[in-house]
Amino acid sequence: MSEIVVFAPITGQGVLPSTAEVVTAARDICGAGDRVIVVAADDDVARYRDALSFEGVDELVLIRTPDITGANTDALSHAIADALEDRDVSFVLAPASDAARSVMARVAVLMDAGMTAAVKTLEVAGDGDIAQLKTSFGDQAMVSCSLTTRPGIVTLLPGNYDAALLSASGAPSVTERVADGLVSAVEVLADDGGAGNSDDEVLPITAADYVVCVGRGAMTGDNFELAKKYAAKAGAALAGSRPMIDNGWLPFAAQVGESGTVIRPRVALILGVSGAIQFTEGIKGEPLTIAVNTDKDAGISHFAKYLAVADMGDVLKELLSDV
Amino acid sequence: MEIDDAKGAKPLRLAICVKHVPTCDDIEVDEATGRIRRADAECDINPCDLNAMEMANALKKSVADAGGATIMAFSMGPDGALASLKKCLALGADEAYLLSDRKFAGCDTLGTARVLAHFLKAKGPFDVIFMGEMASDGATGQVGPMTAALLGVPDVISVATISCGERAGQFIVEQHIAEGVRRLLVKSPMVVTVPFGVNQPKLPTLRMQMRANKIAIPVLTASELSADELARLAPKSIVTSTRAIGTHAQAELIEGDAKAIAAKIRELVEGGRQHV
Repeated sequence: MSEIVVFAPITGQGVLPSTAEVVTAARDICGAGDRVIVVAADDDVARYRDALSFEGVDELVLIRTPDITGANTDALSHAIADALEDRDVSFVLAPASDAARSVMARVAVLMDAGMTAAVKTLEVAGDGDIAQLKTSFGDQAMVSCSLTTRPGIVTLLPGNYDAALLSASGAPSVTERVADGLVSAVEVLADDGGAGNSDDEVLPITAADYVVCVGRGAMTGDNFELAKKYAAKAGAALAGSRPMIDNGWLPFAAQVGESGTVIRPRVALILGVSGAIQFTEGIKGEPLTIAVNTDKDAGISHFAKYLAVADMGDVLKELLSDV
Repeated sequence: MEIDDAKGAKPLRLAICVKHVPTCDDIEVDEATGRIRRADAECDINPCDLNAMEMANALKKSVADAGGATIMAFSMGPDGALASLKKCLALGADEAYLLSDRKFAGCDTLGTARVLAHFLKAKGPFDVIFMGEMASDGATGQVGPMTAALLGVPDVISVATISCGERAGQFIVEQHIAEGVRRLLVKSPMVVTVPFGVNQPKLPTLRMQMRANKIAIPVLTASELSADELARLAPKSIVTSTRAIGTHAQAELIEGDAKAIAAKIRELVEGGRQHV
């Protein structure tokens, strides 16, 4: 019997939504007698109790870290490693997101644990080992990894597991801890949660099942407005290639590419994007890719599954006519 | 590492760690070993390492009249990585070191961080250690935070800008987060990781590159690590198999006028969103 821990990052917008998918992954690899534990740490962690009470979780560990939040990864990692130290943990799973990346890497060092990051799925092998399947070299290769340590730390990309539901009756048992005396070399001066976003309600591009990506072609006429309108109507997130961000059309958080904003939607509609590798590196998980471009030989024609050689504005007008 | 509290005109000591990565779009897997054939692959400096170099240069420039700064570049890898270090020298690094030894081959991210941390400590202290956010081959983004943890210093990922604070040993760091931008006051020493696209890296001119090519780059080997340190390099995350994934050679064309195209897109999107 061992424990599979899910680390739930707390961000300025609350519990990171993809945590729910990681809970499902943890339940999937649970052997007989294993327990699933959700661990969260924050200055005000108690307020997230309900949002962290997923179905199928055996225990919720809430670590209050006075004056320490997600920005203080140097201190937060100590609070988490300390909480896990005396437990029989086989795996620590976390969402592969910026909110967890630094903390989990630091926990791996503190626990001298092996870590496999940006994993798509976990598979229980014949010998009982848990294989981590992930892509590498810009999705050119699929690799299977194995961790030699227990605990082993794995971060999981969103979009590969169904989200666990919240439990109607709350978590079966809650353990509360206080991590006093933590010291951080990082002080938050300003946390501009809305910077770059307009007053519209913006769907995060990493969480959306459908993403509309626009490139230079959207800078012509009313193409950008049409794309924005279509994305809103279709319930899609609006993202852009780098020129759209450099020229102020979209905020940095909407940039798809090697910037670190990697998306894994089910469907990506790519409008007026040439298809440079710096952009295509940002679309992972083998989604259905549909491109609209006036140049049939654009690089995107070698990346997308489908290509329509047409003016994006004309196509968007038709799409808007009957969404 | 020690914090340099000296106020006044003491030069900043900056470091940058870069990775020499395959750039080809068509990788090959060795069927016998199940590993990527790196030796045959065309390689270059990891793209966002150039953004990190640009940011280090900007910080160096900002203190040109206040003590100045030096930049030391490091890269762990085989001899081929010298090309990436030479690029750093051409772009403004003052010194460069190649960390290369057969005993470093096969390191996972934690092992790589241990090697980097050892030599950063040996050549330090540094006020700020710059790294690219993630390598284009592995794309894990772990090495920066792991190196910081091993050095016992903070790390800030997704850094957009860095500038000196009002007091020595303090820096103002702007960090991209999902919700926007976070402004931090960070005590040095620290590791910052820089994503692709946050600035416009300069490329070296031929003259700068030719001059840099003449600078000798010392090779630091495993002989400088203790037996205990070497034992800790054994990988804990092991690749057990690799297979190449075929890519779409050419997109399937959607024919017809805008109306027909929209109809087909609607159908594809609907099907694709329902597919799990």
